[in-house]
Amino acid sequence: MINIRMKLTSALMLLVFFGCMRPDDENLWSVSIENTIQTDGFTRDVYLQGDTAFIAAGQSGVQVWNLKSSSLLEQYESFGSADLEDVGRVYFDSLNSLLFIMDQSKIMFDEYDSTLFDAPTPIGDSHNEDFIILSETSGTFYIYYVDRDAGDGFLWGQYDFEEIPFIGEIWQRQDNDGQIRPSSPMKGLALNGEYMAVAGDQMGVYLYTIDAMGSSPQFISRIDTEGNAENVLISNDGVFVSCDDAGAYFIPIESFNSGGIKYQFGENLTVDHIAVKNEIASLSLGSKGIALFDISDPSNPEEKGIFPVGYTYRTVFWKDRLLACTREGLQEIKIEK
Amino acid sequence: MKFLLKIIFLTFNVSLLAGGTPLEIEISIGAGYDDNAMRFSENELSEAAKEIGMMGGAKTFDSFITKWGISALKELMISRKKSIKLRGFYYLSDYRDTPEKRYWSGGFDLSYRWGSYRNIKYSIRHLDEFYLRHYINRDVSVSDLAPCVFTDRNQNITLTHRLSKLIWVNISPGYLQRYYSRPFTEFDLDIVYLKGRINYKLKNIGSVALQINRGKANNISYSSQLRPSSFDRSYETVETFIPIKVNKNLPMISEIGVSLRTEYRVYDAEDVNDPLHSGRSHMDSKYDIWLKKKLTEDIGITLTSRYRSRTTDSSYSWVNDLKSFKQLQFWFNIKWDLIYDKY
Repeated sequence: MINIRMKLTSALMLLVFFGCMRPDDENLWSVSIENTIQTDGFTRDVYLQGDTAFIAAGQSGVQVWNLKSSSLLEQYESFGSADLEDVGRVYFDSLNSLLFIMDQSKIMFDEYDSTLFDAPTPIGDSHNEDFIILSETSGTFYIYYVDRDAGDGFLWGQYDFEEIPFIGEIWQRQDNDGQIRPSSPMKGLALNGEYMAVAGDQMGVYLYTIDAMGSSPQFISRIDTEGNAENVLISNDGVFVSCDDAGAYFIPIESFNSGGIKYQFGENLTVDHIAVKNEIASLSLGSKGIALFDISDPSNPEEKGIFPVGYTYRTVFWKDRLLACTREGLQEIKIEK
Repeated sequence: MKFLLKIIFLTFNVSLLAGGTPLEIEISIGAGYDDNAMRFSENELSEAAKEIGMMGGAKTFDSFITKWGISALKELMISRKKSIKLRGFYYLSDYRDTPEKRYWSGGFDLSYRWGSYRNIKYSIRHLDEFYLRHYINRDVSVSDLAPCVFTDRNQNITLTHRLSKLIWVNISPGYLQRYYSRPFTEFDLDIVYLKGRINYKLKNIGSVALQINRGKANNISYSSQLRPSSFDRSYETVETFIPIKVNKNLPMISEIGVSLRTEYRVYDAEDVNDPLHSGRSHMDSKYDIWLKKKLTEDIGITLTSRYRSRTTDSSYSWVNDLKSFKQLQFWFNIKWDLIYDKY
C-alpha cells in the first residue's frame, strides 16, 4: 500500500508540475511610436540630410525639421504669389543646395536660401508621379522623372547653372534630354548603381541600365505583376515592387535577363511604397498603416505584422528607426524584433 | 501532452498491478447533430453564404457529429471508508460536415475519499485543438482567413463535504488555460475560477443542485503595442448552473433531467478603438434535457438535447448582431461498462 501511495503521490506531483501548458509564439514583431512630428498638413514624403528632415507636408507646403530636437526650422506654403498645391515629394540636392518638390501638378526646384520659392523653376508639365535627381559636380544636375500620362512617360534631362545675357545666372535645361513613351502610365522610379527601375502601372515593372549620370536608359526587359505596379525600389539583391491589391514583389535582377522569376508577398495588401534596410521591408499600406516583413531570404519574405500607425504614404529608415509619413504627421517608429 | 498521457498510462499500469480491485472500463459511442457548428450569428449566416471562405472546408452551417470514447476507473481501498480513485478518459469527436472540427479531449481524476460525500479530487482536463471557425488574421493580413483553433487545459481541486443527510457541497478552485494556435495567439487566456455547488437530494425523486462559478480571465498575450489585434480581451464571468435530475420511481426510463446553464460575461476593454470588446457583455444560456435508459446491467443509452442562445449587449448594434447566435444540438449516446479483474 505504501508503494502505491508513493507512486500515486509522485504521479500527482508530476501532473501538477507538468499539467500546465505553454502558449504558442507567433514570432511577430512589435512597434512603438516614439515621437510624432505634427506637420499640420499630411506628411507625404521626407528627405533626410543627417538629422534634418525636409518634409513634403501636403497642403502645408514644405517644412524643414530638426529630428533630434523635434523643432521646426523652416516652413514654405507658397511659391511666388501662388500657394503650393499639396506637396507630395521632396528632395534636397546638397551639392547644389537645391530643394526639389513635386506638388499635384509639377516638379519645381529653387535654391535653398532666403529666397527659396520666390521664383522656382518648374520641370515637366503636369501629372508627374516621381523623380530622381543625380549630381556629381557643382553647377550641374540630372533629373529622371515619370508621368502618369502615358504620352509623356519616362523623361530625363540635364540642368546647368549658366549665365544668360540680360537675365543673369539661372538653371538652364540642356538639349540632351530624352523620353521613352511606354504604353502605360509610369508611376514610380528607383535607381541603384547602374540599374534604374520604373513602376509601369498595369504593365508591371521595367528595368533599365544607365552608363553614366544623365545618359539615356537602356531597356533590359519588363516583368508583369499582378495588380498595378505603383512604386519600385532597387536593393542590392533585386527589385521590390509595390502593387495595388496584389501586395508586393521581389524580383531578382537576373530575372530581367532570363527566367522572369518573381516572388510575391503580402498578396492581399494594397501597397503604396516599400522601404528596405537590414533585412527589414516596410510596406506602406495607406489606411492600414504599415506592414513589416523579414526579408533575410528575399525569395521568401516572412510576415511580421501589420501596424496601424495611421494613414501611411511612405516610410524611410533613419538610423535605427523607421520614419512613417502619415496623415498624423511624421512618426518615429521603433521596431522590436 | 504526450508526456501527460504517459503519466496517465503509467499510473493505470501501476494501478493494474496493485490494489486487488478490478479496473472498470466504459466504452462510449455517440452520434449527434449541431445546427450551427460554427456559431454564426444571423448576420454571419447571410454573410457566409456570400463569403464561403468563412466556413473553412465546410459546405453547410450544420453538421452531423460522431463521438466515441473510453474511460477507466480504478479504486484502491485503504480501509472500509477510505479509498483512492483514479479515473482517466479519452474522447474523439468528429464533425462530419465541418472538416476542421475533429478533436480529442481527455482527462484524469485522482480522488481521495474518507466517507460518503466526503472527498477531495484533483482533476485535469484537456481539450485539444478545438476549431471555432475561420477568421481574418488581422496581424498580418487584411483579408486572408485562417482557422481559429484553441486548446484548453483545465485543472481544479474539488472538495466535497456533506452538510446533512440530504445536502452536500462542492468547492472547487480551478485554473483554465485557453491557448489559441497560431495565428490567433492574441486571444490566449488564463482563467482562474472558484466554483461552488450545493446539492440537495430529493427523497424518492432524484436531486437538484445550484452551482455558481465566478471567474476572471486574463488575456495573457495582450500588450499595448501597436497591432491590429492588440485589444485586451480579459473578462470577468459569472456562471450559474441548475441541474434537476429525476431517477427514482420512473416508468420505462432510468433518469430524466433538465438543466439551465447561464453565463454572464463582461469584458474589461474600454478602448474606443476596440468597439468589438469595449463595454461588451453577453448572456450565454444553455438549456439541456436528457433521458437515460439502462438496457441491461452493462449497457445504457442517453438522449440529450441542448438549445443555446447567446445575447450580446454592446453600445454598437453591429456588435450585438455579430456576436449573438443560437444553436441547437441533439445527441444519442450508448455506453457499455466492462470490468477487467486479473484476480
